[in-house]
Amino acid sequence: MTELVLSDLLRSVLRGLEITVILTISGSILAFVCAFVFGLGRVSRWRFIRVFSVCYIELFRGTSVFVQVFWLYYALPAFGLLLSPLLAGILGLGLNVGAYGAEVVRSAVQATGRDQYEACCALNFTRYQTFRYIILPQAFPRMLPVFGNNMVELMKASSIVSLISLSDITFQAQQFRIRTGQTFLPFAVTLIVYFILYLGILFFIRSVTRLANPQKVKV
Amino acid sequence: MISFSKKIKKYSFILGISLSFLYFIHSADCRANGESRPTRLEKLQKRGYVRIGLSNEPPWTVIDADGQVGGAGPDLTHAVFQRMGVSELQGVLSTFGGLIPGLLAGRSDAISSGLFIQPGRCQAVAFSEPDLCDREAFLMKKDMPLALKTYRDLATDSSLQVGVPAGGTEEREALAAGVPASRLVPVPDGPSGMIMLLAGRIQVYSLPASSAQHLVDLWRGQKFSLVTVEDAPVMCAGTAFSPNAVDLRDAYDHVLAKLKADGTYDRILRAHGFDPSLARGHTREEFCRGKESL
Amino acid sequence: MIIMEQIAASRPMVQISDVSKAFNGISVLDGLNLEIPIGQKVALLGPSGSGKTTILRLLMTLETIDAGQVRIEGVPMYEGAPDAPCLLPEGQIRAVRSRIGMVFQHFGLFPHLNVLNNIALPQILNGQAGKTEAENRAHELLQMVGLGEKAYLLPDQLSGGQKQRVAIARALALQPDILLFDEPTSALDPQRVSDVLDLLNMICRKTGTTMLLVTHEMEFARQFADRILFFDHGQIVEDGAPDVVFTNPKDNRTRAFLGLPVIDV
Repeated sequence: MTELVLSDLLRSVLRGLEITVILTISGSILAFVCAFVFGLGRVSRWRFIRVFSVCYIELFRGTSVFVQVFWLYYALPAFGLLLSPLLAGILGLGLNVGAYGAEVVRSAVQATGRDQYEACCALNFTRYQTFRYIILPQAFPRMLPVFGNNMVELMKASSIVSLISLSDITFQAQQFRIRTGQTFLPFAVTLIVYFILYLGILFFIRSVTRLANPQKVKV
Repeated sequence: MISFSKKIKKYSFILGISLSFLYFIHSADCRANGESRPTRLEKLQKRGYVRIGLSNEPPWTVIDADGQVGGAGPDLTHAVFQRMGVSELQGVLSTFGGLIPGLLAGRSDAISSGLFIQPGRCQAVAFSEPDLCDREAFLMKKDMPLALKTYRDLATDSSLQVGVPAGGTEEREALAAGVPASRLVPVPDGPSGMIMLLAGRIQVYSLPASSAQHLVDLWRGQKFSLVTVEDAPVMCAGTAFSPNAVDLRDAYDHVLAKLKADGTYDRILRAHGFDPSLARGHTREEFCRGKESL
Repeated sequence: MIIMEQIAASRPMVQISDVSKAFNGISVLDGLNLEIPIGQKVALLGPSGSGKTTILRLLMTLETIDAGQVRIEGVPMYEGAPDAPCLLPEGQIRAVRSRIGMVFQHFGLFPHLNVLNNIALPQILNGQAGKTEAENRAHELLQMVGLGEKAYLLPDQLSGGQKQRVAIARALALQPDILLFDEPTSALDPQRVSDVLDLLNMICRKTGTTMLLVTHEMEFARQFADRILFFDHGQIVEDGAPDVVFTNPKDNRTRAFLGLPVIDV
């Protein structure tokens, strides 16, 4: 009996873990891309791009990720766009966290001293060269700790996907509870698994931070 | 966790309503073109499977660790669709609050998860004729000497905190009997209700009798008493279809009536501990019209 | 040969015509006219806020002018009407800007790049040299400014004087026709000032670069410059050879600034 319950729990957790990990990794990649595209768009020379970026950032920061995922999954079909649950989950989480990341990119870029921009002008760099070789290499290490926090937030927020019929680890734990009436065991396991994922993200960010250390940047 | 589930259900409900509105606008122009296209049933037959919206609510719906779908609702729906020429049933698992929005968004073809037929829901979806019916029950700890038999009894004892399934019909019944809203505690799911009972957060847990029986069985070690509510009407669930799939719903009703006649229906319900006789004599019309007509 | 000289004489390296510039409604330069011939070493003196640094910054296109025109060897930097000048579009202004280099008061070195790359990268990005060539040239320049050993250190590991020499080497690497220095001695120990002077004189001998230098150090200006410009309230109040300006200035404001007795008119 106990063995059956444990193997049931193990299978549930592993299934859920797969979804949670896929969501966290894919969502983070999307968030990373959005953060750069819209964070730099926010400081663009072209008004249209600036306005568009601000709209994206404020829309996604100002509304709940919960409602956003809901819209992607349940409302878009009414307009003829039927996203798969996984895609809707990745999009919802990625776009939401990307909006926060965009502000991180913007503030890190703007925190780079004026003297650096002026030196680039004096050395006749183009705007692209200025960002690519001077501003971003200095701003990137500043972004990393906050990106790490955002990634952890994304992982934790991924539990909302149960709403759109994705069986992530929280949903699986909940299902296990309903099946067996056990409450302590599934949530203890879920707690530990989330914490291990958190440690994994922490380790990942530490490694990237070491790589991005200015001492080791090569041209 | 508990407040989170509450949030899910609240949001789902509000959005579900607004989305169904959007969906009507959209579907209105879809209906306008072409009569010669294949019917929904023909499309399902060609595809070979039907997607059923489910949430895990034993014994109405049971989903095991590998995602295998069972329980009275899905088994009965599966049997009906097999007779209709659609051999396979695919479960679209979600929270209870996500069922109707998912159906309206075209994520599922029908819902079979013990969704009670009520006037409000009849506005949003097209129900089949009643399939699973149940009485209401109260769950209490056995050491509590409470002689509760009706919702009115709950209203008179002002010390009682009453757990009701979030988004379920019990809340309305209790309010109608005079229980103040401040004493009603929404319960996200069965096990949570049991823990709330044990912890003394609620003294009574009001829920469908078959769900209550299932929980009592799960908590074999503990002593709970189950009382059937006397002043509550029999509630019936139906399989829910999209409002523009009335043709499919009618085809479903047709086969369901046949299964009720040939004994298949009784066999499936008994296998899951439901009383097949409860549904007899009840109609969709009656539940959709609501209380006044009873 | 005579004709060539005439052309050169008719085309000053820097020509500033009727230039005005205001910050937040406060006038910094007001109808300024200035011509600087090729190869001249000019020191700009004057009290703080007199507009001398602004001249360097608008030559470097870090600021734009409100009215007038700026020409580099006859090539205008602005288009449109003289009362509403507009900086040339990016593609065209880069060609003009490439002739000018600047050494900032606080150097503006790139902290994430080592000394060698600080000097090599601008050459590569400006398409002047490939990686190897740029690095060779950077090593040569570092030897020249006396920092041959420091190529692989980060800027933060250098002293103020060393940073400045890196900044000078970086500006020289792009072989500009005009070099601008903003307060080159202000961040240095007094005993380092003569080192800077020697370095600048050596650069002049080797390259013949036109130089504009903003400073507060009278002695430094006197030893460095061919020509002294004394600024006050956005106008040139004294213009001449160092010996004349320092010993017998015409304008009372200059006299006051230099601590000489004021002449009654």
